[in-house]
Amino acid sequence: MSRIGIVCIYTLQEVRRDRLFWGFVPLMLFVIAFTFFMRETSIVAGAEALNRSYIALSALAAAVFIVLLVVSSMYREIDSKAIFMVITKPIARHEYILGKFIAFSLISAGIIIIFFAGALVLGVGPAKPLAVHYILCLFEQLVMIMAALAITLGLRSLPSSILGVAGFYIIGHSTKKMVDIGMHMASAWVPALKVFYYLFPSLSLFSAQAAVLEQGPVSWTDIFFPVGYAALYLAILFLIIVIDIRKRDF
Amino acid sequence: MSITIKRLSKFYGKTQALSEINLNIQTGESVGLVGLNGAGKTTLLKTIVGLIINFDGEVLINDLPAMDRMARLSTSFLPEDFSPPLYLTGYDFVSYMLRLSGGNLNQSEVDEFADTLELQVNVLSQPIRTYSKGMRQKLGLLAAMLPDTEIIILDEPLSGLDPGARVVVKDALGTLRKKGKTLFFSSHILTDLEEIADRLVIIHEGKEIFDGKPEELRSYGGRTLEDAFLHVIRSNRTS
Repeated sequence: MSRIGIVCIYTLQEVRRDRLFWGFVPLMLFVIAFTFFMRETSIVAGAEALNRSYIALSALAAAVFIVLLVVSSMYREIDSKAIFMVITKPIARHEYILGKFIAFSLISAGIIIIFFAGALVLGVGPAKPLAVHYILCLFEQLVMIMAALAITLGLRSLPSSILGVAGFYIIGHSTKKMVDIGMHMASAWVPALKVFYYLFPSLSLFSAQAAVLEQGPVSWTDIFFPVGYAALYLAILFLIIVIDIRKRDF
Repeated sequence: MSITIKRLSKFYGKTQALSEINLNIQTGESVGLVGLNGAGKTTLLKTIVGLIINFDGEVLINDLPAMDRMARLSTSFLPEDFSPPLYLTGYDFVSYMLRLSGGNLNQSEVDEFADTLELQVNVLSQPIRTYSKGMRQKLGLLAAMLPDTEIIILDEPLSGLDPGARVVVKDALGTLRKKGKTLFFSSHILTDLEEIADRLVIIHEGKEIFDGKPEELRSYGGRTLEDAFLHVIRSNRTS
């Protein structure tokens, strides 16, 4: 087996015994309970409130959960110096990063599948738009995982890493709003704002919420552009990590 | 030739951690590295195993640059104050390290080595978070010894161990020495070093100020090896 695979397997072994990982169960129950609460207490129609809440909460919960898992696991490995014993083996530093990324991506895929299954059971929306939405969510998670790895390896501090990744998430979901505001202020800014929109993480691309809630038309081709964007962003983040980690003293 | 260090210097910002270190360690030698806190011992060990890559000078493992993957195939490292991943079991961690080194877990071999370190076999099946400090240190040593690499680099392998555990670990290092392994390790406890090392290297303020046999160090005077060590330090102290 390749060294990337070895790092991946033992990361999965470790995470599955981590208590934080099993915190997913109460998190899932909380998401379901909260969505039912919103259905009962919201001024909008009950079913609509449930659907909106579930879609929004599941995406947020999945992002928060996987980021906490990545940051805590990586930080623990750096702080305990366990990482020293790994990267002094005949493994390239970028292979180590890839192994970690694949492991957390598999966990993220599992979480997304569970939330998708929950959405189907609760009748949040039709299957195809839900599938498109959760595939897009998965790609958002992959970008968040790579960002969390980059930030934790760079900062090597638990609170700073959490804040850094939270900042990345907030900026990612704010770029569209910032661009919309800018476009209303001055049309001359439009080209520059579009560059800004695609240069910074545009995490709002990874959502088909409207198609799910309004049962609008959706096609499998709707995922092509966001997936291509995610692939490009992942490659750029990975390149940044590799350039940094290859020159970094531990 | 196992380890060759030529004119090694390392700066952390404006602070010079290592200054023009020259050191050759032959295959099968057991060399102890000693110095005061902050002398540069860990920095030196880290450059050999490829954790520190920004330095001046040259560090070669069997004539290959220390960062080269082939060089790291022949090296094992145990860091100071190390803790294995808490949620793996002992067997998991040993298997992880073995597989990264290109080997496979042979349970009977692991149990045999664990026995020499007085690490009980049933403990290896438990999660590492249940281990005491001494058990974690022994597990780290087990993971460093098992891949059967030619060169073993240990940063304070006896740190934090009770007297009984220290005896066991020293015996294990003695066994490695008899097997012809190249050992390079740091310690603050000179009497321990004297028992296991063929040679002592003293680092002070980033400079190598002594390189010789323990009996040669004793010739610097004093009743104990520590006295001789302090005499060497004081005679090399910069104003």
